[in-house]
Amino acid sequence: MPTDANILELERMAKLGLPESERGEIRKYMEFLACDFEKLRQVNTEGIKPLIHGIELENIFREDKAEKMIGRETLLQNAPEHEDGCFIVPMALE
Amino acid sequence: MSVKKAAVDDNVLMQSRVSTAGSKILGNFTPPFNSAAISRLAEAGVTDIVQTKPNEFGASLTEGFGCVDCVARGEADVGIGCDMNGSIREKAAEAGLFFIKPTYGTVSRFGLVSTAPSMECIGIVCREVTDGFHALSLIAGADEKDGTLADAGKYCFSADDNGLDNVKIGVPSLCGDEMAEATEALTACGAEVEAFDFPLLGFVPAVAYIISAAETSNSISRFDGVKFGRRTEKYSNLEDMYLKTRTECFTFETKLFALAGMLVLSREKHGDWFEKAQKTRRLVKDAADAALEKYRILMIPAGQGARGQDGKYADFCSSYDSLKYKALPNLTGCPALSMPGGAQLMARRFDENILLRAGRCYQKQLGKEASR
Repeated sequence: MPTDANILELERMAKLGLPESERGEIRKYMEFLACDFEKLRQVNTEGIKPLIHGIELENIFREDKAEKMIGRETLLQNAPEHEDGCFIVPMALE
Repeated sequence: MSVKKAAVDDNVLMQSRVSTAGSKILGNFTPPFNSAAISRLAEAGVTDIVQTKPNEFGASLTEGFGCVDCVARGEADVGIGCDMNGSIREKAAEAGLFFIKPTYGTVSRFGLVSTAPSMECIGIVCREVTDGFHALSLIAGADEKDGTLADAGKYCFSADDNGLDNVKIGVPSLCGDEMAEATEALTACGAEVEAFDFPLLGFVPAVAYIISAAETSNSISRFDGVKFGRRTEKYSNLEDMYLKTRTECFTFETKLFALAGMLVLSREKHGDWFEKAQKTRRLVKDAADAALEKYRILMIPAGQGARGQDGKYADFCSSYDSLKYKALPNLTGCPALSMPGGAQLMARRFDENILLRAGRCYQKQLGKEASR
């Protein structure tokens, strides 16, 4: 069953930082889910291939042709901060 | 009938209109392009479009969908929303409406804010089932911008009024008597309804939740406060900015999805849970296909039925349990039609027309009963 330490590690990977009260609540839900997930052990899946999609489609490729794309300035309009055609983020390297 | 006004949940993007996908994190997002569904509606002359909000990314098991509410209030002829795990079908049935989930790969997902790409389909909510299938015809069909579409050209859904004579409908024996009304109505139309065993149904909630959580945790990693959407106001460094932005913006259920997704994809659980779920998905699909060889239609509950006042946790657990019915069409890629009264019908892939025929029969039968 997931412990608080497990959940902290999952938070780190999912880039989340839950307040203590929410972590306890999440743990209750995770315990419920984990308990049900464990029941899958009862299913005999020996020799069965994983199924990725309900419909097993082949890749569909389109013709390789030049198309007019959305411009950089238009795309940047939705960015929280941008300058000179680039996204602005906090300094990542000292 | 022609569709004049449509309510579209805003996880289906509209150019130059704020499209939030029901999330704070996209609270100010204005797409520079239209989704394929919106473009198709415009090409068909449907320009009166009301934007509605789904629950966050349409992924919640318990919260509602704006397009369903809008059609229920009579403010649009049809609604368009994303069906990821059957919750929208359940909400439509509860509101006395139909919801059509087409075969996977029938409607382009280009411009949909995607969460669980192997399970989600854009579908139609409607009061009149014929209108709903007409609207589906408008938005379905090939689109080179969606590589997961079935290569089936343009669709035109139609059905005659020949009733349901010789149509066999299978009902999993696990189901209770919550579908008595639908059984009676469809039998009155000539269908033969019988029970059959589907023992794997009990494992469907785990399979559906594991797969959708894994896919959702991956899909929402794009929301980082850098390229689009909201960014937290105060942060000390890049990591802190990611963390605060996502924590402040996501709802409890989205956070649960993200964390559960990380867990099932972790090295410790990947084999026991994620891969096991994918393998069980194949067994479930094979069992559903075998049943659909014998029966033209499978009838299952649209959801959990009437809710008690037991609180959020109990509601979640009960909604999770009802994934055994709701998520079956999403896992198998089959089309489904949820109906007022709480039953839903599921058919073979690309056999939407039998659902239209059965839905029309059911609606006529309800009309007859109402006029008595």
